[in-house]
Amino acid sequence: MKHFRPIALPIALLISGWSALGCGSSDPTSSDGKGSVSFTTWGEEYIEQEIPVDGAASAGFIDGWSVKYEKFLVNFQNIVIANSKGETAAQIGRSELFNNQVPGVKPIALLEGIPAKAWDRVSYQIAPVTEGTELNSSATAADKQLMIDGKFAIYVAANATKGNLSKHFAWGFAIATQYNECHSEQDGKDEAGLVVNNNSTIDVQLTTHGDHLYYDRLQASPDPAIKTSLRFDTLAAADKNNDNEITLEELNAAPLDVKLYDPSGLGAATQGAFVTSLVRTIGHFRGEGECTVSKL
Amino acid sequence: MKEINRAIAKRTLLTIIGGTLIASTGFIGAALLHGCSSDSGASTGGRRVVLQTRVTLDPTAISAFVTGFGWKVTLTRAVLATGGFYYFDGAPPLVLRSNHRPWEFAERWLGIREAHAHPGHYQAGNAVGQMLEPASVDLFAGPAELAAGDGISGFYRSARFSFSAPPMGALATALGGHIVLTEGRAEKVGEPLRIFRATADLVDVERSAAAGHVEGCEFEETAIESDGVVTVRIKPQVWFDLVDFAQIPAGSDATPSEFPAESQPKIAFAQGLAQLSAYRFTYSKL
Repeated sequence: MKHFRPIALPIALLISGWSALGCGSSDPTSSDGKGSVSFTTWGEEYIEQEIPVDGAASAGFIDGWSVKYEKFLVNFQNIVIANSKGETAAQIGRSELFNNQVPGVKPIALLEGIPAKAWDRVSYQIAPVTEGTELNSSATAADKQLMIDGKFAIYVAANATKGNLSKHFAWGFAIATQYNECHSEQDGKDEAGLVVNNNSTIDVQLTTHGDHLYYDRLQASPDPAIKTSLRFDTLAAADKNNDNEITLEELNAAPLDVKLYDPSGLGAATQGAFVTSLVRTIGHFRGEGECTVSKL
Repeated sequence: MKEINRAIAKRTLLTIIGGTLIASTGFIGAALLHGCSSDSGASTGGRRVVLQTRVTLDPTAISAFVTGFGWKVTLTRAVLATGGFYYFDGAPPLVLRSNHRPWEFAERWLGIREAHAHPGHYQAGNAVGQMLEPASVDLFAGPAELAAGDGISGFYRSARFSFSAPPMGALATALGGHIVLTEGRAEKVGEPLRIFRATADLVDVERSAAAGHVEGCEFEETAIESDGVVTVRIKPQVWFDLVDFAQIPAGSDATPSEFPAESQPKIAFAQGLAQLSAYRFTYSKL
């Protein structure tokens, strides 16, 4: 794990009297103390083990498919701890490549000496790998070269099976995504960013959700009969040459079926465009927490 | 596997999470009395402002546009029944332009121009303004001035667009009970010309947008400090993006082809009407 010291805090001291103005601050700490933030990443069981068939004992694909990842490469960079008053507590500019199919929570960085208070603007990026990208022990040099060659930020390879059917896919995504204003549920309440406490370290996990690629909508239908579901039948059907390898080119040639899918404001006309848009939503914050997602 | 169950159970709840909706002027008055805005960062939130309302056709739709299915569509008519508009300080799930907060200059400098997002995770935040009067609008008749709304000063970041039924206003009769009526021509190489008439009722749109409310539309981020005009730009190309015109007859000027119930064109058109990317809100000072 890398250790970092915070960068300059240009405005921090100027507004220390904010709460005296009467508009109230939710900042639970008001001393000059400091704490640490440990950033990690994890792919959950969906990426480490499998996304199963939906059933009474497990939730998953509603159309009988299951997916096992072989590889789930993701490149994190530019993690920023800041607040809505314009202060920046710390910034990690470097990028690091992870394979979240490898089991376990992986450390990204330990940031020490962060002023103990609420930091409500935490952000990060998932962006294409470059020569300067560092390599986490979960990924290999060959992985890094693959990512550089394709200008990929995210690369997934997996096997999908349904009865006797088996499809393989390996999709690289040459996209860059900004995750802003991350927030999560902590102790039953929504918390913007994170709260650093005196002399303690908080764990902040940049969780990757491997199931998002297969959603049929992100915006829930108001019709209770239409459930948000994981589907693979339409992706499998896109394998037009029937070689059991589903390529992104084949997905890009498959129109989005509006009877099953809702583009949910993502502006996707094909299965390929929809999956590519969904890939931008894999980045999460402290488990189920979310961020505002923007194209870089 | 227990963890997987927990995760997916939570995710299948994906929905637009409404924020604190201030649905009446009285409620906005209460916010004014409170005197402090939300955590949106606005430092001067809380003063009442009058917001004129304007609805206009996005300039990119005045001439022909090409859909996701490769059809070149030229609209000749687009009439719709609008309901109330609500404005919020929560970030939209789909950011189409760069943000304008001073402390986010670095992001602008980095070149954020267009965004995709996580609509399922939209949190509206606090309601900061509204326009409540239903109306009917002909997008090809020039900008339409609707009733004035009101709000409180502070940051505006997202909005709710809504359709209303039955239609109200000067064009209610022309709409014939529908919430949207469009006419036009669709062309594609190798296909005969389609002359169409597409309509939608509230029940059609409600399959994607509850009560005809399109949540999470982008309100170009602005710190509103004084009275002004809220302009809603409508992009009909989003309505037609996934319509497969190959599935309707050619039609004619005298008898334009309509979208049959439960057909792909009908479903795609109704779904398009519910897409948040079809409606963009901006503010300008008076």
